[in-house]
Amino acid sequence: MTVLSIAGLLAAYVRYAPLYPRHAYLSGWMLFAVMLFLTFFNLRKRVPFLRLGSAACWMQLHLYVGGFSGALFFVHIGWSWPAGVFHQLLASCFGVVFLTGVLGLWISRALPRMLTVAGYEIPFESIPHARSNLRQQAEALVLAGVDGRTSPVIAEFYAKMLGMFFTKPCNGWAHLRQSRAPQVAHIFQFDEVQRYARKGEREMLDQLRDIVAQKHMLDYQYALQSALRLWLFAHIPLSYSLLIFSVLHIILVHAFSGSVS
Amino acid sequence: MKDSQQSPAFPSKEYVRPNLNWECGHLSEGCPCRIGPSPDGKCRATYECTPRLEVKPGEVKGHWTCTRPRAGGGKCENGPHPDGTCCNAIPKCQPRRTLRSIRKRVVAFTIIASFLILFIGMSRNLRDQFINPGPISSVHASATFADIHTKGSGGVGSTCAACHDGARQGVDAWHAKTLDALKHGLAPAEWIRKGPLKTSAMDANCLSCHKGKNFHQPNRVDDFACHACHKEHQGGGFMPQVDSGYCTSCHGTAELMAASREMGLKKDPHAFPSFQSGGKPKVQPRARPENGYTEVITAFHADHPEFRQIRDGVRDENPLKFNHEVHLRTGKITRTLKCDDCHERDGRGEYQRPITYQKHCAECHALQFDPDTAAEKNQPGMYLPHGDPSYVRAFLRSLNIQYEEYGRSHEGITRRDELNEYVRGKRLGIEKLYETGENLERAVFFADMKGRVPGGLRAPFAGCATCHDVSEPATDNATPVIKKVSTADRWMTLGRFNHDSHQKDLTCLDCHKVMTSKLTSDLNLPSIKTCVACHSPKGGIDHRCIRCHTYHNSLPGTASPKSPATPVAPVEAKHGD
Repeated sequence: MTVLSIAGLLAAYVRYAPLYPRHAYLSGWMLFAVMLFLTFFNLRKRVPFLRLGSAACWMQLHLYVGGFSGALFFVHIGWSWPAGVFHQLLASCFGVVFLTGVLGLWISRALPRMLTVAGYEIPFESIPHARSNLRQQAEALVLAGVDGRTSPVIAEFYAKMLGMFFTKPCNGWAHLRQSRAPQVAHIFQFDEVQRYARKGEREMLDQLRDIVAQKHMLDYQYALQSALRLWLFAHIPLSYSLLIFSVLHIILVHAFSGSVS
Repeated sequence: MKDSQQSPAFPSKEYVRPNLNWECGHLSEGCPCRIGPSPDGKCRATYECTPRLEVKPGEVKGHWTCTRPRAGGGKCENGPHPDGTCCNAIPKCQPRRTLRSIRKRVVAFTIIASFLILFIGMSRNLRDQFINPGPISSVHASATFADIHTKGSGGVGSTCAACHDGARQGVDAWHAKTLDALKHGLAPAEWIRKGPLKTSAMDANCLSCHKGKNFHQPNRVDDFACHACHKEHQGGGFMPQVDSGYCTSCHGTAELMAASREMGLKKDPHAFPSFQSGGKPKVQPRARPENGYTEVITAFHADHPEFRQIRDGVRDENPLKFNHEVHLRTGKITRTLKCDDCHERDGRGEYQRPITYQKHCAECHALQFDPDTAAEKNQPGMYLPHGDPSYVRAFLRSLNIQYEEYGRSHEGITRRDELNEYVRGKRLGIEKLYETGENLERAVFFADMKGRVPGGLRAPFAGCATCHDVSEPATDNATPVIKKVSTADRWMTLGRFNHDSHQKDLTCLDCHKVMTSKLTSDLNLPSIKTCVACHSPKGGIDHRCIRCHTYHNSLPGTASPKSPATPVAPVEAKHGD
């Protein structure tokens, strides 16, 4: 439907725009109405008692109308990037909002699938708690092996290589890129240490290896779930800026129009 | 795919509230307090429980009991202090904002920043530059223009005020002007109104410099705003060329053209510009079409009418006799010509310079009636004068003097008696051929290309009638009449054309089919189909109206004589040329 609407819009523009010299006002007001609809999509959540339809339905509508607004925008600007300072600001604002919307669409469709496939699910808010638990387990394991008589290989390994790893989310960008390089690096480090460990220590290393693997899975969850939330930090605030700039744009084009006698 | 599994450390009994603005600072350590921060972000941590005083029957003081819930670890081992305070004080934390709260603040910050940008941009010093939708054309951006209009705008100080009333009125009046626009000029019904923009107050500003706007056909249905076609703020340099859509918004609308046709029929014919001969460039006079130029045209390649010269079968009325085929085909004449031997391009490469006898014809058509008196090096021969039949006649009647002068200059005869003998010999030769002077005169004027003279005479040369329409004089002993040659400089006067820009991959013969043209009256102009082959979306060459036509025209009688490459006759219509 959206594709058909966009195709119809573009065909109408090519065919009829020369005949209707004020078409920019029509497309402009349509675009403003569409932007209002898109910006206040969130308001639906504030008035649940009105029973305006399901959230999923509204989300789909938001996506379709958002896609249509992109075509409408290009029709409105006449396929040429504006040259003035304010108009470039306005157009850039729309561009960023539109592109972050597209990015958000991809993120919200692709990342949940990846999270599910990873096989380890945890609410975003519980990740710090889980990370803390893992750190405590790891530290308890390492401390249990420090008896003053055996070599401190594992303790040193933990202190040098894993101490900071357990205190905060790590390798976010690598996880977003679905890279396994950080895991592989840790595997190599474990293999290296294992050569110097005795039998009892090797069991301990195996347990520590499991905990590190869990931390990687936790970081993976954190990275992807953060991305699911952070794109909104550009999309939503700039939507409001776009509305503000649009209002001034409307005032300017009407107050300065040559069509007003 | 791995089986999904719950995190081993998932605190299933804890209820997280991500929709609150603050979260406990200990959350990152995995041990948030149960009470959490206050709504304004203050840590509320005190003790893990509030001990309860239990007084059993018979006891006076009672004892304090731990009330820590199971989720918090249940009753503690040490129990409350004797004074009733909990023994496990919760360490204070620095509450942190939740993601949701941070996002709210980013939204608020962005909104404030947006208003700040607008506030700075709309300040008096930056406003013009900030709201300017694009650089204006170089002419309107000049200092002179700014001076003229700043003075004329009542000292507002904004160059925008030169054209825009909105800038003249100031920011505080913009909202009122916007509302006014929405009620009148730009009401929703106007957005979908077909046809060009109507005149407005802005046109008055344009007309303060560009005098006179009554420049199109008098039968136009409506008056248009300047900015209907001329779009400003599109960048420095020249204004962008007018899109064909602006032309076809009228010319492509059947109703408007019908109304224009009706209006044209009621108008005084003298109100319309006409094509008159005698100007520069010379054009063959022709009448305006009865219905004017009101055919419906939506695109040049789609429904532009055939050129009038082709459609109406216009013939060249030039009395000169010229046969393109003879002059261009090999073997017909002694020297085969090429197109550019005669048709020389003007300085702008648009049209051809006029053809003259001296420059283009004299080399072959030398007007030499006596083959024994040819020109020699640095010495002119004995030729008839060209241009006026009375001069020719005068020349022929003074042959003695002409021969004497030729004998003196070419033969080197200086003695009088020898000169007389030389002239007498020449005269005898002529008398032998023509018997009388009258016959010689007739031969000169009436001999054709093969020397045939009406009445049976023959001449050893081609006479005037080879190229000209020569007729007998009206009275005896008068000079024969030669119709004045009038070669039109232009045929398609309603459109521009540049020959130079059509040279790539094209020869003259691709458009002008002159190899089979035998008559002067053949125009040899290409049909519109020839043009459309390239000037169309299929051909890929620019096919906009302005490629050939212009909207602005000089009013009748006001054309500048300083532009020989452009038509003097007004160019006011878009089609039918």
